[in-house]
Amino acid sequence: MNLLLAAYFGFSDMICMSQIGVILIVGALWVMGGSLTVGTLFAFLTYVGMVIWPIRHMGRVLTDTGKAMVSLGRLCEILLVAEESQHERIPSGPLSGEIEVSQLAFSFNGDQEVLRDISFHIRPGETLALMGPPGSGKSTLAQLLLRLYDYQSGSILLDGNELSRLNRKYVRSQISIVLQEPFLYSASIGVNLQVGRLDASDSDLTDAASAACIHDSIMQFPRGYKSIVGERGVTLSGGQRQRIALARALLKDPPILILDDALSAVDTDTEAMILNALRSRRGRHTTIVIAHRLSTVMHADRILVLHDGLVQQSGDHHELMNQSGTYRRLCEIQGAMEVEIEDKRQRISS
Amino acid sequence: MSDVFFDDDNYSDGFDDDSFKQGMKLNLWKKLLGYTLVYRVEVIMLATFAITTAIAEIAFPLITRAVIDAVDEFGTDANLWGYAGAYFGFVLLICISVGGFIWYGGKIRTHVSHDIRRSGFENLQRLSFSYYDFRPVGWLMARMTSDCERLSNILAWGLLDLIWGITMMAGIAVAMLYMDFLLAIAVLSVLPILAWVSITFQKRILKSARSVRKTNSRITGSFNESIMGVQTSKAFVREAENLNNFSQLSTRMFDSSVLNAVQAAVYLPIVLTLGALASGLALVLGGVEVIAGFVTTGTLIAFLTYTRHFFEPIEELAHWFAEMQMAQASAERTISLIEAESEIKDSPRINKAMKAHEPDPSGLVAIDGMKDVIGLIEFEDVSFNYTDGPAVLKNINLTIRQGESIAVVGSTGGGKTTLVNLLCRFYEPTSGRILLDGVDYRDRSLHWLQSNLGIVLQSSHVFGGTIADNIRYGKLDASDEEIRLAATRAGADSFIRSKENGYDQQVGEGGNQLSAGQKQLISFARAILADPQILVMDEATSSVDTVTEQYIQQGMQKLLQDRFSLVIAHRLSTIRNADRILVIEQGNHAALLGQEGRYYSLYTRQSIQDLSRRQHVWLTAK
Repeated sequence: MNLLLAAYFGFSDMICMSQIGVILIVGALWVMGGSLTVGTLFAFLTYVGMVIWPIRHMGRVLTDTGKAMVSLGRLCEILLVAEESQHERIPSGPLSGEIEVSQLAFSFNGDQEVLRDISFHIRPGETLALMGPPGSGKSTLAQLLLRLYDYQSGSILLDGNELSRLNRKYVRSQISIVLQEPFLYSASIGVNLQVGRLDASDSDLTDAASAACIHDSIMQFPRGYKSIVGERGVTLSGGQRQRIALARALLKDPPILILDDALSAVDTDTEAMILNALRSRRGRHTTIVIAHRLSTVMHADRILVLHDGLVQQSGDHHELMNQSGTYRRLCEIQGAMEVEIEDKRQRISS
Repeated sequence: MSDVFFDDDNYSDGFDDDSFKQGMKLNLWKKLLGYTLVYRVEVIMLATFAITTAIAEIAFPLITRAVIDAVDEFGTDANLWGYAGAYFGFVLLICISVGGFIWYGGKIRTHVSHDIRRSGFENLQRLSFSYYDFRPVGWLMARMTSDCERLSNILAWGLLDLIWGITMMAGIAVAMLYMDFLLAIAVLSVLPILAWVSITFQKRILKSARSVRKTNSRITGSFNESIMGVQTSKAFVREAENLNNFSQLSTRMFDSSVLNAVQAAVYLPIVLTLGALASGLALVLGGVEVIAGFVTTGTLIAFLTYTRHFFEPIEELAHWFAEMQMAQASAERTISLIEAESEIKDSPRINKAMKAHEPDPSGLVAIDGMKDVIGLIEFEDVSFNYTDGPAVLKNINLTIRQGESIAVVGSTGGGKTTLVNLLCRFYEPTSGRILLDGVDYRDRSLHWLQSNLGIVLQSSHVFGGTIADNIRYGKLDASDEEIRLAATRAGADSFIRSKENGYDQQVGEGGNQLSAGQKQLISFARAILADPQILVMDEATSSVDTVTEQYIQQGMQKLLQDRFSLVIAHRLSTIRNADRILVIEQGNHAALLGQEGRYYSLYTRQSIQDLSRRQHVWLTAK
C-alpha cells in the first residue's frame, strides 16, 4: 500500500512538473521568437500550476475512495441484517399471566435441540420453579417467553394467544426478567430503577427497593438513590446488583415475572426476606423462578426439573419428595438440616 | 430521565480535562516524538526527502526567473539548454523525493501506530483492578483505536510537513531577500498579522475540537453499553429511550463538529486572503520597480510565484497545528493511559531480586528468590476501603494453613469478594498486612503470587475459541489428556462430550454459546489445570445444580489436600465440606434461627466489629 502510494505520487509529480518545464522552455523559445509576451507566458505557467494541484490530489481521493468502499461494505453488513418483526397483533389490555406451553421444541442452530417436548401450564398468579443442570435449557425457556428467540415447533399460549403472533414489544412489556448477571446502565441507581417504569414516583422506587431488600443498602451510599453505578456496576457487589435488577423488575409490576437464577449471589437471609416480600405480592404476578437452591424453589406451586431439554420431573415439593428422582436426591444432598433450617426461618420471619 | 443520563456532573470517564492547561504542551509532544525517534533511519530519510523536495520547489521559480531574464536580455541569442537540463534535473529530484517521503512516512506511521497501541495494551494488562473501576470500556476503546490512529498520522505526516514547510519558507525568504531586499521586506510584513490571526483562531478551534473528542469517547461508550445490555434493553422495551439518548449524544457531536468545521473554514480563507494581499503588494511595488528599472521582469515573476508558494506551507502547517491541537486531547488521553501507573506493582527491590534470580531446577525457589511453596497465609489487622468509600473490611485477622479449606459466608455487600481480591492482591489492604509465611506479600513478586492462584468467579470469563483452548488457558503446554482430566474433575467432561464437536466445540465470542453454568464448569477446569497453590472459588458453582456440584466436590477432595482453598458461597451444600467457616457481615440482620448446632453461628449476627473484637470467627464444620 505504502509502496503503491509512493510510486503514484512520485510518478504523477514527475509528469506534472515535466509539463511545466516543457511549457517554460517552449514558451521561452516562443518569447524569443516574439510570438508570445513574457506576461502571457507567466499567466500560462500560473494556470498550469493551478490545473496541476487537483491532479496531484487525485491520488489521495482515489485511495480514500478505496478505503470508503471497504467501510461501506462493513456498515452494510450491520444495516442489512433483518430487524425483529414488529407487525404482530397487540392485545388491548394487559395479560392475566396464564401460560400454557405444549410440546415446545427449540434449537439455536437447527441441529442440536436445546428444548424438546416441553409442556406445562401455569395459572395466573402461580409460581413455577425450574431446576436442572447447566445447559438443560432453563434460561433458553425464559428467552423464548420474552420472544428474544422464536421457537420452531410446539406452542406457547399467553392467555390463550399464540406467543409468536403477539407483538414482541407488547410481550416484553408484560414480562419482567431478572438475570443472574444483571446489566445496569452507567447512570444513577434511581435511573436504573426507573428503567422499569419511567413515570414511577419516589415512593414507588422505595417500595420496590424495599421489596427487593436493597433499600437499606442504597441509603448507605453517600448519594443514596442518586449514586452512580460504575460501568457494569463495579461499585456494587454481585448480590446488590441482582437486587437492584429485581427492584427494577418489581417496579415494572408485570403480569409475568421471571427470575433467571436471579438470587444466586444473595445470601440466604436476604433471600428469605425477598421471597417473603414476593410471597406477600402473590397473585400479582405469575412467577417463573430458575434456581438451584432448594430454599428458593421449595415453596413454588410447581417445580419442573429439566434435563437435556426434557421435563424430567414435575410437581410440587411434597409430590417430588415422595418420588425417587433428581429432586429427592437434590434434597438429600442439600441436607435435611438445611430444609429444616429454611422451614424454621420461614416460620420465624413470616 | 434522559437528562439525568447525560448529566455531565455525573459522568466520570476518569479523566479531568481542566487539569490539563490550554495551549501546546511541549512535554507531551516530546514524549510522543519519542515513539517516532525510535525509527531513526526512517526519520532521517523522511527529513532528507522533505528538505530535497522543498529545495527543488524553491529552485523552479529561480530557473524560471533566469530563463525570462536571459530571454529579456539576449533575445534570440539566449542559450536555454543549460536551464532546461537543470530544470529536468530538479524534476527528477522532486519525483524521487516525493516517492521517498511517502514510502518512509507511511512506514513510520504504521510502526508508530502499532507501537503506541502495544504500549497502551501492555499497560492495560499491567494496571491494577482499581483502574478499571470507573473507566467505561468504550472510553478505553476510543483511546486505543481512533485516538491512536490520529496521533500516528500526526507523528509521521505532520513531522514531514513541518520539516518541508520550514525549509520551504526559510528557503523562499532567503531567495526573496537575496533577489530584492526591500520588496522581500514588504511581502514578509504580512507575517505578523498572519501569526496573530493563527493564534486567535487555533485557540477556538482547539476548544471545539476537545468537545468533539470528548463526545466521541462517550458515543463509543454508549455503543458499548447498548451492545452489552442488549437483553436488558429489549426485555424492558427500552429501544426507543436508548435511541433517544444516543441521538442526544450524536446531536451534540454534530453541533460541536459543525462549530469546529466552521472555525477551520473561516481560518483558511483568511490565510489565503493574506497570501493574496502579499502577492498584490509584490505585484504593485514590484511592477513600479520594474518600470523604474530597479528590478528585472524575471525577478518580479519569481517574486509572484514565491509569494504564492510562501503561504502554501503556512496552510499546511496551520492544518497540522490545528490537527495537533485537536489531537492534543487525544494525546493527553492516550499518554494518560500509557503512563497510568499501576497502583499495585513490584517494589524496586523485588524487581532487582527477580533480575538477579537464576532459574532453579529444583523448583523450590520462586522467581523473586524466596521460597516457592507457601505454608501459611495470615491476615493481620487487615482493613480496606475502595477509593473514598466507606470501610468494606475492618481489622480482619485470619490464619490459613496449607491444606485448609475455608468457606466465607455472609450477606451480600459484606466484603466477601473484597477479601478474595485482597488475597489475590488485585487490591492491597489500606491498613494491616497480609503475610505469606511471615513475609508481607508486598515484598513478594506479584507475578509469582498471581501465577500461584487459581480463581473461579461467579461470572466466569470464557474467551472465543474452542472449549479445549479455554481450559488450556490455565496451563498453556497441557496435553489433551491433562485437559480431559481437569474437565472430568470439574464435572465438565460429560457436557463437553455431549457437544457436537466435543472438546473442539467453538464457544462463540465471550462463550455466548454456553450457558452460565457451563461457563463456570469450564473456568473450574481451567483453574484445576493451572495447579495453583491457592484456589479461590467465588460463588464458583452458583449456576451449577446441586447434583453436579456434589460431583465436583468429590472430584476436588483429593485435589485440595495440599492447597489453600477459599470458597465463597451461599448454598450450604457448597460449604459443608469446608474445614472452617468464616462469617463476614455488617451486622444489621435479625437473628432468624433457633439453636441448630453448627449452622447456628452461620446465621447469627456477626459484624466486622465483632470479628475484630474476637480476632476471627471460625467454626469447625466437621
